[in-house]
Amino acid sequence: MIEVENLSIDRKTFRINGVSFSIVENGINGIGGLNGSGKTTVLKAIYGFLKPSGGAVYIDGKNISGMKPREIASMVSVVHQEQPTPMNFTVRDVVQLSGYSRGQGGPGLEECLEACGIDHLSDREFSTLSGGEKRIVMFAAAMYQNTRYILLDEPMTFLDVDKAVRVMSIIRRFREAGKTVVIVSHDINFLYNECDSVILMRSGSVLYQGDPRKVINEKTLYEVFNVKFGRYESAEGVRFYPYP
Amino acid sequence: MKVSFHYVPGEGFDSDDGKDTVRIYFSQDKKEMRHAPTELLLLAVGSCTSDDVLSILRKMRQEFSSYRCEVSGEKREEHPRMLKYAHIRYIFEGSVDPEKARKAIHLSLRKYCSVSITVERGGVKVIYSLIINGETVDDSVDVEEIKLEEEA
Repeated sequence: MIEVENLSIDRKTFRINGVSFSIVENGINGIGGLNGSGKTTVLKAIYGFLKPSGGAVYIDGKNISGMKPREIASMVSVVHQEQPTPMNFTVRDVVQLSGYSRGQGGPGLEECLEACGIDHLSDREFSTLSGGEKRIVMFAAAMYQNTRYILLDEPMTFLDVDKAVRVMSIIRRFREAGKTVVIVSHDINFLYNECDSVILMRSGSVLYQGDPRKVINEKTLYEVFNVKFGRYESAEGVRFYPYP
Repeated sequence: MKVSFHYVPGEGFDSDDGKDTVRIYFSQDKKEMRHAPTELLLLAVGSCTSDDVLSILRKMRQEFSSYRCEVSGEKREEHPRMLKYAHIRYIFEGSVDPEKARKAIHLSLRKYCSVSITVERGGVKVIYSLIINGETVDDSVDVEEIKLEEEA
């Protein structure tokens, strides 16, 4: 279980105001809100990259402030929106090196490359891949890292349609494997239709959290995004759309 | 990739390709504080493989308080006075897992380090030692003996 308790973060131009929430186990947890609402900042605090000025993050009951990066990496994997560039290693080695902290069991290297549809890229140098391909490699790395918790920062942004579909299928596979996934996303329809639980943020505070079917509606969306939304039912589920 | 240098009378050669100046030894001027060309080759070997090794260890979240690299070599007595060997010593202080450091070194010396692999394929024996917190973990391992997992 990941628990965020009264978390505060002070940055030069921005502040997280003592937020508290719990992450739902074995499911997809979405964090939504406008740019600058604090979504990514909270995510960075969950994996210990940002140190809180107050409050704490607990993973499986343990305060992460006392944990070494390696210990956190044995429990939490992260796929960032921007991929690290200074890696002149092959795709296979990038994925394999991400498994440094994994214990016994878990999917094999070839299985992860295949599941993410990048087995044909395994001998390519990581730095020569497109942005979308790099992101999928990092999904394979997270799969190989085989942690209980997987954090994803805007995983679908700037992806071509085919890669977005593949990423969505990988995320569903994580859920089927019993992983707990936390996704930062500004896509309301994704949050509503794919997530088991959502946290909606605005200006460094959590406004709403819970089951997206109960939490997300035209009224709450207006409060969070300051934009009027309409709603309609489609074959793919409920859709929200902004209107002037 | 292109480098250049010019002769500084009474001193030696100074690089002048727009980057920080490298001051190179000239045997006629005997400025001993300048690096000789073969020493520069050893520096290139050590820094190239260190780039790989530290990048890999950073990816593996290995924490070290200090790192240094020593590279020693010896040239043949007769002409051409080629390098006989290059012995790279990777020296860490801190919380570094020896297995992970070994893996990083093997990947570098067998697969990624363009300088050491160029040197080795040119007939120079390349060996390495790994020292962590003053303890020798691997001593004078011949790179020829290393087998990567994918080669096994």
